[in-house]
Amino acid sequence: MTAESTLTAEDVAGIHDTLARFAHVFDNDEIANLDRVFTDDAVIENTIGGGYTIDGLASARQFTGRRSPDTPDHQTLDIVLLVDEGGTVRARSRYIATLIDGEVHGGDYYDILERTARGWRIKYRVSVPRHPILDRIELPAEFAEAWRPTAANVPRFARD
Amino acid sequence: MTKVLSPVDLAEIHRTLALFAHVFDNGDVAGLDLVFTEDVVVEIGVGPARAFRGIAEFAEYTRGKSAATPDHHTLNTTVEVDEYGQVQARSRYLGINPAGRLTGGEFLDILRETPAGWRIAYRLSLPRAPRQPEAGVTKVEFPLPVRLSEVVAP
Repeated sequence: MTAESTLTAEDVAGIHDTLARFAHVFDNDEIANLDRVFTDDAVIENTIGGGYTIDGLASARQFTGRRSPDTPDHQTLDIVLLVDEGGTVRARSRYIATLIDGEVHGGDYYDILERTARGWRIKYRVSVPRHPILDRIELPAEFAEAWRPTAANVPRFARD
Repeated sequence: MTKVLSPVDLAEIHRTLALFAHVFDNGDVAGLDLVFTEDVVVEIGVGPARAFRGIAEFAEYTRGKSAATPDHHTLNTTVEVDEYGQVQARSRYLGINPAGRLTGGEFLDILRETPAGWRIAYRLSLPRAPRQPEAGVTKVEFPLPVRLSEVVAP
């Protein structure tokens, strides 16, 4: 079964722009522009170390305002958009983080996107480190299942 | 006949190339048919050093890869329609190995639009870095002077 064509080229471009914007906004401490990336009720998690959860845009602003100047930069690539039976739009992508000493870390972003009046925004994100192997909390094995690409959730994009 | 690729075609082609990383790096053998045609030929290195004919051979390679295999990231993709009407993509890949070191190279792909979407029918993967001093990189003509009918499994 092929997923329904619910995403247009405009949607795809809008979502890619939002995911790219994260790096520019966050890495440059543009606290006021975080609403161009996340929904007001966004939940942002990371499994690195002991893991953490940021609940809501106001908390994301505080978190960004407190971050160390030595925080790595983020590059987002290999974006794959998935649409489930209920119409939820997910993105699975990779990040490459460049550390201040030139080392690189890579990992997965698992996102849920929402179409808002402001445009496509990230409603949920969890970052999961891959290489190098870092201390991290393990997500349940079934967690990634909703982001596993299949013929059913990888839609042809809508054509005019 | 000149094929014209629409923005939707390009978005789907980019997604197919992105899917490779998620499917292959996670050993998701069931997902390989979202990336490749059944008769895909994958060649790695010049010569080529390694070749896989058909999705079943590549699935075996995917299953057997070591945990130390670098993760793949595909970027700098440019898409062209060649003189035979074939759709070719030239990309770079960046690999990150478990030590946090980078590898890099080129993916040269010929894609085919199937009823299920755009799939890679031929891939030539050419490592570029790391390499020995003075070794240089392998330079290939793009679009590849290759006709799918001559390289893919019958």
